[in-house]
Amino acid sequence: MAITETRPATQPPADTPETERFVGLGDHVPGGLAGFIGTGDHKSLGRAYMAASLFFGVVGVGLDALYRAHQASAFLPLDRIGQIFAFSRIALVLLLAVSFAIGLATYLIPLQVGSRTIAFPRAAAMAFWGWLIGSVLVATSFAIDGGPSGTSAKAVDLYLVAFALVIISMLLATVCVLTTVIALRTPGMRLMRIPMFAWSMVVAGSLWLLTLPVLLASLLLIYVDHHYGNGTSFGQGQWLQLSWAFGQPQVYVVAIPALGIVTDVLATLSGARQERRGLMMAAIAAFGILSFGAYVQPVYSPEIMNQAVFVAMGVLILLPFLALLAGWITTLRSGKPLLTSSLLFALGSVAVLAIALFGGALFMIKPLQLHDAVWIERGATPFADGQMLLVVAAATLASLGGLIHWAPKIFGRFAAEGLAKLAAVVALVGGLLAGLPLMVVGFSVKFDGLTGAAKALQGISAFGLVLMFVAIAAVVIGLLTGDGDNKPEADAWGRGQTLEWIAASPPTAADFDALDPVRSAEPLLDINEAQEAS
Amino acid sequence: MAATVLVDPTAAVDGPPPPPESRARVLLVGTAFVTAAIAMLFIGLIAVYLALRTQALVDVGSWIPADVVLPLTQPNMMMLTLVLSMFTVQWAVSAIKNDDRANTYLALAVTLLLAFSFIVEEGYLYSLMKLNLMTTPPLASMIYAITGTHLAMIISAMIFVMLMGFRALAGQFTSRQHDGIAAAAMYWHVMVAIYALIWFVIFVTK
Repeated sequence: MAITETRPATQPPADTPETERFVGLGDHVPGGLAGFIGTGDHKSLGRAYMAASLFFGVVGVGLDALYRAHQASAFLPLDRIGQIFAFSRIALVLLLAVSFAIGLATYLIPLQVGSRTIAFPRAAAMAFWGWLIGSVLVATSFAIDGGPSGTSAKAVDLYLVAFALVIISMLLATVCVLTTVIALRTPGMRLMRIPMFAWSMVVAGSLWLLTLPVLLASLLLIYVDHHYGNGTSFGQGQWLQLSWAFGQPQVYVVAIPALGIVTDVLATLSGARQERRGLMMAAIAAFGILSFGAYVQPVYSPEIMNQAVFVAMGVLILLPFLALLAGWITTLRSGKPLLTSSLLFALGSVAVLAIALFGGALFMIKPLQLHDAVWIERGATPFADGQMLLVVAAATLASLGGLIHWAPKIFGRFAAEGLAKLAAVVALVGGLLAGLPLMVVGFSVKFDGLTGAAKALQGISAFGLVLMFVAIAAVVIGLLTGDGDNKPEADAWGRGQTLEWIAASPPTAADFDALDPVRSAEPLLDINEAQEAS
Repeated sequence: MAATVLVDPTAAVDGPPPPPESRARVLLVGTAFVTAAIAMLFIGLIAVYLALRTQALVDVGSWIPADVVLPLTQPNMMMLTLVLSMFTVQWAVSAIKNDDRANTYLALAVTLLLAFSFIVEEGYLYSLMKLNLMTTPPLASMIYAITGTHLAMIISAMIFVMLMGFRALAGQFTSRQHDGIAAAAMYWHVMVAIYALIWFVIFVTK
């Protein structure tokens, strides 16, 4: 008798925690420093990313405050000004805003999509250490007369190689995060059901994958010319070749994760399902598409800022933001929001981003001369600088809000709520004071009366940056001094909707026990509603 | 006698233990993202090359200095070598899909041989061009940056193919699970497509 057996069903793996199996350590998991250095656990890597990016962010904010103070009252040596300016931009945009989002995503997204591990954990670990070493070397190169305006040839080479290492590492980390969302979702979690932060990271990560390699290409050309050639082509005007990555519209890519964080925080704290979810996801995707800025290369195309595509993108990006704003208001109105510090941070982020985007639309009005040749002759672009600071402030506010919102999950404790609320207000005021005065200075070509006030406005901007510095420090202190005795439940706010709120606070090594198939975008609400019905 | 077919997957059966939970497509998806990033790197480089060439043609009427030679015969051979390697790497995918391990190893080995030939050809091309980074910027900087980076990518593709070859030797790939070979082939095809762009922009249209 011939017997045709059906292939046995797949079975869950043996008792070994998944994290350890995917890291490949088997039963032997070293502890202490060796364990940390060798870990591929997304939680350890995510925490380390966030801590290091906040450190670099604080350095960047401090240096930019120094630069602004110098603009108000010259006191720094002239040969250091360009280096302080360039490093503060790299630190604020890439090492703080983008890297913190990667860190939060590395920690949170496996929990949100129910995967129990990040894709390619060894590659994720390599990406973190590469990023950290690269960032330290970038800072070192600036300190020893490197950077785009440095005079030490070896230090400039070090800066170029280290900066390239930072970008390659960020790209690798982004690939790990994106692959986790695309290929490691738990059964039933279709792409349209993933949490909004995960979706915003899909959009942001896609944009980073499409634009950061172009920045890498510029660095490569500069390096070949500077190191092997005579430095007379790409080696000249280095910062001008890279500046597109820190201006409009490219700078908006750092705010895309903020859109997801705000959406998740507002929905969770309101206790209401996000209405018109598909529209919200489409709006985030549209925001991402309109943030693509790798084509804005004024070095090779001086008239690019007067072209229709650039102008249209700068104005149209307001539309998806307005759609998101309507969605957030609807969510807040349909629930009863808890007035936590993370809610304040989220609302502050929305307010600052709205002003930045409105400023971006003004930037397109040619008669205002906000990006006129006059500014290039003066060697400064105050309006664009102010707008960049507002976008970074919006991203930072959302990041800090997300850190506090998910603190029970990340640290196993709540942040000190009173201090965190104060920090939210200080960060909002600081962000506005850092960016808005510079945007006002930008009008001084058109309105002569502003020229005399330029120094005072630069001083106000420096004060705003100091407030940002204080706010970040206050959040860190708030997290360190949080209520350690009040152990949070798995659903720490009692209103969780997405899968991370099923995991323990903090999660176990394997993140979850067995997960049932997901049936909607808010699986926890489904469970609660089923329990109430029965 | 009629065959008895057990169709209930939950029914208890004796036999080999069930396979572990599948994590299929992860490597393919990750490789797709990596190749997208690499493609953008070369698009960025070639866009700068085209912008500078156009500007030079407008400003001074020429892009390639009179004392620089950009031959076409060698790049043609290099392009042909890589096109052949596309067939051989796809042969490996097809072979592993049929559990034909001998042909899989052979196809991967021929692919690596062709890639090695490409590296030798590139070295010969460099010796013919005699581009001087000191005297002919930015042309020399651009050509060395673009072709040198592509050479590094071809070497990375060779390492990828070798690693997947070792995994195939270890019996990790079968007709049911051959994502590693398929991912390496996808990476390979994109590297060849990028060279096609370089070949056309730098050596054909000059």
